[in-house]
Amino acid sequence: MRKKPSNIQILSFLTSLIPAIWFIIIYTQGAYSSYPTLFLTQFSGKWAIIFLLASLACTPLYSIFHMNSFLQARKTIGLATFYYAAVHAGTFIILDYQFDLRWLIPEFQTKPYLLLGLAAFLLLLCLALTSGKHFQRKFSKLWKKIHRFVYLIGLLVLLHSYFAIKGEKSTAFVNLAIYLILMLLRIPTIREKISLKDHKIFQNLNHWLNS
Amino acid sequence: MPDKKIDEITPEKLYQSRRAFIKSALTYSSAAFLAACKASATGTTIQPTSSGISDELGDPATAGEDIFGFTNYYEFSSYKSEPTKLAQVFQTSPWTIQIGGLVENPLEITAEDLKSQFPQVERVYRMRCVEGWSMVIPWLGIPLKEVLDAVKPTSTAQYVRFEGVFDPEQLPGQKYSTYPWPYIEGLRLDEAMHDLTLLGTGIYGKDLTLQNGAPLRLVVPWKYGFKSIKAITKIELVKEMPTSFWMALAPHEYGFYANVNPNVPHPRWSQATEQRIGESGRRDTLLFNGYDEVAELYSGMDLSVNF
Repeated sequence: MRKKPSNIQILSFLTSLIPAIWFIIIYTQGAYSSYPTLFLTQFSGKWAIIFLLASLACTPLYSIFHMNSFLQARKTIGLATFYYAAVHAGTFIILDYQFDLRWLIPEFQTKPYLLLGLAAFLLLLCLALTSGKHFQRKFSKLWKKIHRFVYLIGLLVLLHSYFAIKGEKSTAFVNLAIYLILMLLRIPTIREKISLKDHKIFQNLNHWLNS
Repeated sequence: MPDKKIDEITPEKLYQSRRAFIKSALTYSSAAFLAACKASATGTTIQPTSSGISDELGDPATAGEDIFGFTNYYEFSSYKSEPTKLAQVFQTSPWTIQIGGLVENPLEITAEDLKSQFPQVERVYRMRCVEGWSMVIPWLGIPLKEVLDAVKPTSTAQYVRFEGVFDPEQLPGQKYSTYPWPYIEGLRLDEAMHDLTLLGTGIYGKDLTLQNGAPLRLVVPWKYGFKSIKAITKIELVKEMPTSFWMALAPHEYGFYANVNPNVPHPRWSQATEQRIGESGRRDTLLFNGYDEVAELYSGMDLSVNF
């Protein structure tokens, strides 16, 4: 029998659905009906980045609060990153360019940022395919290695979005700053400094989230 | 054969209701005028949707809801549906346009006077945005040549510099932005004098809407849409090549000429293909946006250098 999902699993799953529901609502209200593929590409890309950064925030949050429910959330958020990235890449390649290689190949040849995005997506695909509990248990060392690629994916995606944004690029810089902070928080000496003392509230909350 | 440059397929009633249009329409070929009569069999007045209007390649005019609802107007917002809402309080009357610089007869004129003193024509043009999307727009406009002839450029004038409105109180996009406002654009004098170049005054037989660049904008159909500056306040004849708004921001991405060219790739968007708004799927982009007659303006020039 399957185990009943924990509260944190349910919560993080529902959270990952919010942008999709939001998209359906604003789309049916006619926003960007003039150019739906552009809207869907930008919307899904933006949320893929947000979920990617959120998934990278889970480990530092675990170091600070010692709540292992963050590690549970990490997997769901990571998968959400992949789903939104898949919508993003799929909209571009299938809906927008109709998988027409006569059109697609020259675009990838002349636009390095598309190659960065493609590389990031293929790596994300590897992570998604190896995200199952079964794989993680059976090949725990390999799993760890593969999933460290998320740091590289983060860099590729941030570069990709920097070049994809027109005009003012402040969003890209904010995202890069968040990424760098999340990386710094992984350095052992920093990680130890930010670690809080175990607190009853966090323990209780963690217990409830895991139940 | 209808005039190859433009298509004058327009419901006849528009011409009946506006005597001025009859006059200007008659200056074009009679075949085009016959086409106008034919179109009137189906259309009653100009309707922004399913109008029966098409360009000379036979592609239908883009629906009004898209032309009026999907705009690039960074003075208001970088989101394309926002200018339609934000521009509604924008005051465009009174509006004075200064036309000067290297000219014999500088002119300071209101938008209203300009429209009544110069002939307005209707032209159905393709509009190709540098971002890889396009529309077919039935413009009303004054051929820029008419206005330039009136102010008489001096022999030293080489370029025309256009300046857009600067009013952060009314244009929220100009308030807290690092963009180099006001919007600046430029044309070489021969480009400005070309028969296709218009000072746009209206769309679908009505005055320009606020989000589309009222009261007066540029329309240069063989160049990417960003060349067609909106809400013009100043037209200046100059000697040196002006630096446009987007050139100032990213010179490697946006050139001065910005001619529609499927063979010169942009680092971000496809220039080989485009999404025609209202269609499903992409289509190939045409050199000079299909206006082959402008090719002679650039003979001997390397278009990938002068992009």
